Amino acid sequence: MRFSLALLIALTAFNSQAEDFSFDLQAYQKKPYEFFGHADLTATHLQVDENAALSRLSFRDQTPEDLQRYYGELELNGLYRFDNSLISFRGLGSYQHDTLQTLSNRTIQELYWQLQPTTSWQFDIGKKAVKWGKGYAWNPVGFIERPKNPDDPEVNREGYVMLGSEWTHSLNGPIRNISGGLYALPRSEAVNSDLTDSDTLLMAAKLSLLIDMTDLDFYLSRSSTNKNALGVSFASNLSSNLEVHGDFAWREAVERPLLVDNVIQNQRDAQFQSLIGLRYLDSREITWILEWLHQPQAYSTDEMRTFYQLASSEDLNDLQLAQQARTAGYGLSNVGRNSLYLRASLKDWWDIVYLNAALTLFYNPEDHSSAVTPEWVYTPLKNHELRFRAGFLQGSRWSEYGEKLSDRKIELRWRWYF
Amino acid sequence: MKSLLVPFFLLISSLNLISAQAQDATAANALLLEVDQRLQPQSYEMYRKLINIEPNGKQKSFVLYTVKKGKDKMLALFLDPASERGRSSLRIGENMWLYIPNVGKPLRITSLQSVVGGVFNNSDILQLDYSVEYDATEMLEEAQHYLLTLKAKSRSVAYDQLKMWVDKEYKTPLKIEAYSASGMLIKTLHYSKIKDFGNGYIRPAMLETDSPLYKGYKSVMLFDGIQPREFNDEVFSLNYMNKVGELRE
Repeated sequence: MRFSLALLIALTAFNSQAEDFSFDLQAYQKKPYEFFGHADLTATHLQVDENAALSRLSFRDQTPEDLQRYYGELELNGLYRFDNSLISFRGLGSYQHDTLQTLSNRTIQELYWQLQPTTSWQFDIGKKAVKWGKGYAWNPVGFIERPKNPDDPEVNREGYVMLGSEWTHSLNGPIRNISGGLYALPRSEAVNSDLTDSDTLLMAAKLSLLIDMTDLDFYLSRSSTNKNALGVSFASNLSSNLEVHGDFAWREAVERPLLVDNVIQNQRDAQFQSLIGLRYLDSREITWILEWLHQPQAYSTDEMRTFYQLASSEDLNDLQLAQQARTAGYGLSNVGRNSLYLRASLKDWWDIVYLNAALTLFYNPEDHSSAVTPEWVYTPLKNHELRFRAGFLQGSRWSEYGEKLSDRKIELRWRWYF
Repeated sequence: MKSLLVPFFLLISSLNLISAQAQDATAANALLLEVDQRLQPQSYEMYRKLINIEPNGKQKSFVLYTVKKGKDKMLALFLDPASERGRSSLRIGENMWLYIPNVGKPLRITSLQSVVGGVFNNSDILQLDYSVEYDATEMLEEAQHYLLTLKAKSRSVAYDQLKMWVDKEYKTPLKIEAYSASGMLIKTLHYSKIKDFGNGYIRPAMLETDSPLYKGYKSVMLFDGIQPREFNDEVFSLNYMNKVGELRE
């Protein structure tokens, strides 16, 4: 009896101790320095499609049945605050090894000085990643940013060297917020050399409005060679669980490499791209993201077939030409006229807290090929994240996903945040 | 004559009843307004620690810095853990956005989405004053507390109906039950640990939440550093979502 009573008191004491939560506010005060980042280790197993055009192009006649890829990266971020300014740094080091190649890379992805004289004004000078548009998988209006990887849209991207200023003003009428941004991006052999729309200087501007329940953005860019680009994007909540968004971009005189009579010709045309999307939360707490990318001046299925046929040829000259075409633009993701993206994601999958599950579908409605990616992300420990992904590609001969290098893949990534 | 008097008295008594109900609702809304005023200033900054507790006792915590202005502008920034650092959520009325550092631009989101897994969702993180989102329709006076019945003003509010037990002495909530439009209990919130935060704010420092939808799981929110502070309107804009941390002193 005494023992039971002692046990009960001990248990009660333990419980009340367990419920005594602490909160050390001092630990979260602003400091002049901040240092943080993440480290990744990724292992990927790819099952190679021996008959696909892109595997023929990569391996010629020695196509392996499968391919192992190992990848590691370290991202370091630093911040130093003084007066109304801060200096921000983001560096990335990566190493990749597989049967095809071994690559290592170190880049300064961002390094800029930011001045905030008031809450309305901001000035930036240095290398910075500016992100435009409302699309999740694609960014047609990203005039001054590097292309997004639609297969992993949340991957950090390298910025461009620029001089930028932003201004924001709040109002009490139907227009609740108005903001503007002006950016100047120099281009030379040494700086922003892959900025395609400019010879020496690219100027860009953005105007953003919040009108009642709608975000409305206008974009403009003009290069030193008088090549203009215009864009509009919007996002609005139709109800508490349904959001709709869109990006529309028009670019003047975009160069497009085209295979004509076994020669790559650079055609120069105006290009229009549009993206319409929605985000919907259903009663089972599944978040659906649906996006449709339409680019009427992109490659037709016939034009892509020409490329795939060349890449599948036994003739060495054809293979070399196909390799050049791949590098020039045919090898990029979603280069067709229409692409659909559908992602369903669920937090706490199967009632396991911190386990997020997602299923992503890319579909090419022109050739009916598709890629399906199931994904699970689990954070078993604080700041440690495990991601498992698989990939299943299917499509007929000469179709976008039927001719990719691999038709099956599995991937495991461990990420540590610090 | 008698037959004429009966409907007359019925009419008078029903008018009295309607008038009593209207008075009841007016008093209930006045109390709700006082609850909001006791909980926090109209414009303020505060720190919150959110702790998710699993059935096996395992805990995961998140720390948020929050600023609010007026009735409908609110901005919350994740400070900890490192995996969530820099994420911020902005609310202007019924508009909500999420900023993820890697994505690098604010995305419009829906209010019901869970932010970090567990019992809390966006609406809990960016909860406006109760009187902004709810009408008090009924008030019952009991020995130690008042019981308010609250009805959502619009369909965009996360919970259609609340039952709020209000402490008679401090005029702050003791317990809140949140119901869906179909009358299903979604979650229960328990306020505790009354603390003097200064500037006249004596209010609960802890909020525990459980939900029949997450059996065995519990979430705790600890409040600290609540103080009145005025901000420019421009702080509550998409351009400022990646700079919220600079507001800290």
